[in-house]
Amino acid sequence: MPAPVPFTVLGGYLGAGKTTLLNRILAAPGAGDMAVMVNDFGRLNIDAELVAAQGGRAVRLENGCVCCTIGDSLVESLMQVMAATPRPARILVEASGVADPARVADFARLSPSLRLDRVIVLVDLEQIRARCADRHVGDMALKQLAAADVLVLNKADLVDDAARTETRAWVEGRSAAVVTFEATRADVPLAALFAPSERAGQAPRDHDHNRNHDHPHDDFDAVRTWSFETRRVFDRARLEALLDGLPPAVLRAKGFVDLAGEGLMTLQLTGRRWTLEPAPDGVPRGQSRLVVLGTPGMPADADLRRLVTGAVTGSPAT
Amino acid sequence: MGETTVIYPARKIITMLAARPQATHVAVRGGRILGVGDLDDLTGWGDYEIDDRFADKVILPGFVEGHSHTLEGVLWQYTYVGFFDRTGPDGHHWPGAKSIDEVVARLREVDTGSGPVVGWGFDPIYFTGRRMNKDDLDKVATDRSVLVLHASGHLLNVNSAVLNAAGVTADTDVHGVFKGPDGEPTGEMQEFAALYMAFEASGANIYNQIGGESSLHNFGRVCHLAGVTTATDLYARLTPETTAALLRVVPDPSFPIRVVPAYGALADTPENGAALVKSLMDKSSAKLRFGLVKMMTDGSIQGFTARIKWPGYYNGAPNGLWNAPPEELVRAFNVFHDAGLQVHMHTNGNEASELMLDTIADTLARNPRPDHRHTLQHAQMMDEALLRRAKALGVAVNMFANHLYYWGEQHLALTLGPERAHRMEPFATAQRLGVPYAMHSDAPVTPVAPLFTAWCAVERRTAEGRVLGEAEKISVADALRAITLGAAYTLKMDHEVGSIETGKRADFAILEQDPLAVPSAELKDIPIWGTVLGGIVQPLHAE
Repeated sequence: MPAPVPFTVLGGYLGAGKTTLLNRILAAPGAGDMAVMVNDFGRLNIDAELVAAQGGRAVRLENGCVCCTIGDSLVESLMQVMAATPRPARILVEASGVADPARVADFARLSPSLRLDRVIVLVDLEQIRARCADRHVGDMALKQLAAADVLVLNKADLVDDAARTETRAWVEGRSAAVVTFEATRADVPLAALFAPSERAGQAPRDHDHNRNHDHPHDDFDAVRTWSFETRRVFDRARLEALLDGLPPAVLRAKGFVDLAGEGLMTLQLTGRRWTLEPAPDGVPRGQSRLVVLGTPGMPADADLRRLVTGAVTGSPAT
Repeated sequence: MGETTVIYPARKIITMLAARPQATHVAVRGGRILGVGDLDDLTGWGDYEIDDRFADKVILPGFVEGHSHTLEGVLWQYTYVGFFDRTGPDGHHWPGAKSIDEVVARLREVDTGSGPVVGWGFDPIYFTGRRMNKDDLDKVATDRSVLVLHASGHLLNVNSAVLNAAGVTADTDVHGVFKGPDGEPTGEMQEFAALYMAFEASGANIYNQIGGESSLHNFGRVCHLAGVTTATDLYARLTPETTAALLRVVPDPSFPIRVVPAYGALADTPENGAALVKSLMDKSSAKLRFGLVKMMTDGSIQGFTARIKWPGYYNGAPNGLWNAPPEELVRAFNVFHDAGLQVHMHTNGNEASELMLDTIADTLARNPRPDHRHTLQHAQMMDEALLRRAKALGVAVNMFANHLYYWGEQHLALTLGPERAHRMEPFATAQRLGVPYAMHSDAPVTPVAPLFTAWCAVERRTAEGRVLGEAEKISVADALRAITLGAAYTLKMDHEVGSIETGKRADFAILEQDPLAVPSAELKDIPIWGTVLGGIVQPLHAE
């Protein structure tokens, strides 16, 4: 069986900058052999000079990237993308502005031919608080924050420092993301958005990642992320033992864990220190979600899964 | 006028024409209705032939199914395993599968020994006891994939072969994968990710058949069996391939129905979509009518994905999903409206219905258009205030009568609770307020059977026989109007079909009994002899 295809989900509400980021990705010279699945061709500036071939729902660009529309069924369009020979080297799916990126990530969690890479969620720093309070879409905007592995706080130029700091803390309090980028016009280093699968064997750089909020962007491409979701609850004693025993290659972990008898807690782990505090309002209840960031030398995904599953009880979440 | 005039005497003709509600004879010339009345009213047009094959039948306008999907025709290529009886395109009557064992037995029976085994329409909500699991489907096959799609459209069951091929085990902690008390996946799952995994692992693919010629033929036959002469495909892809298939298949005189495809608006930008629909309108013909647009806004109530207003779902489930950000729905509607197109909007929950009524109100204030006939589809939770707004805005509603029967008990117990369940599909209120209304099956979600749909609106009985909302019952006559002229109105075809009236197309449903005379509880059981489409007599069985 061929190696599973890395699968990245790009989420965030309408206007957060997904299209801008997609345009950056599509224009990047190194994007070759990636299939980019979008909701709407029309808004992308696919430069005619970059188009090598066009047919119906897909455009092949000169850099080797294939861009196609999802239409009304991700199931169907993903089947088409995966039927191509050869398979794409990587797939990036733009989740609709009202989709829960976690449910899109499930495609890769379930299919053996896909491997979940990262869930990237863009946030409009100026609008996010209002979005989360909106009667029609507030619930979904909050789900999107919770589902992120990587947050891109966009439109940083539109807010002043005080608002940016306050909004960032508010958003991070409601997200499991282990890394946050602040950006203007979605300008983030593209290598940082995809796991370094090709470089997995590379030795970790000697670098202090503990203050990840400030860590230089050009180093993020040397770390791995791994995420875990469950609807069962965690046992506090076993979780604490797990956290105390994590290898040093795990640099950071964050998430919302439903503790038996206690309810949903925010978990923060940085280096050797961790805290568990009640999760704020707005974080969707009924499930736990954990994101881990580490050097390429941290335990393999399957081993991390075994470790974390060991702290989970058989009971469903509260 | 060299064309032949044929006069059909009938036991009774129910016209839907206020000026002459009932008659005994209808004259047909050149595929159209020359006149309706008694014989003396019709003989003055010149030479005629009397065709008395309907002399003991009851003639109604051909039924109009205002909300169905040709996907029905795709699914019949697989095996029906639903709880309720259903008739296939070949006329074969499939009795409902009333237990897990019956489902398994049927799948074993149809299995050809190679390729994936796919069942559809599975509906375990009336089963007592345990849920179906992989061990059941392993009795069908262990060496090949077995998939069973649920009627609700949100769940599926698979056998061990599928789970093994996908590597789904007790360690798989993914949202839609159900686990048993032993922690092992049961084989039952939900959400699109699970569907993708199952299709990928099994090699089954229903998508590449949607809109294909064989699915159209199946769909046409299923409609014909139900007395339908005009049916919508209310979320049509209209790719070059499926459009070509429609243009090849539907105009052929042997194809039994008129088809009204409504362009599915999520496939492209609204600007491109509007341009496509307008370009296709030139290709419209007597039997194939382009020009409608369909927008999806929310999910389904039984799947807890409809957007509903406070106090939300009765069992506490979180609110449902939008199909696109509300701003985009608003923008798309404006583009289609400004292009002069008629828009049908799927809105199951009342929050979705309200959003689209807000949108229509704003759009009409900016760009008024008399008689736009934008239509809310399903509109299952409209309260009086929403219906008053629909009336004020000139919006029609096509309500999902069949839900009362198929999911009424679930709405009562789980999704909406008693108060809101009893006033779902508020036909009597719509009638009282003068809101133009129709009713539908949403096939393949429920079977195409307009007489059954009318029965649902008249009797309002759940599958367990309970009456849901006595006060929202309507009369048989009103329900018959809804499945003919009412639906035609929502398609802007009420000047052509939907009643038996001079100048209209000679489309008839030929019934063995008089729906106005039988007890209303038996409305759904009236046998259908066949139809007439544009003057062509189409019996169900060889005469």
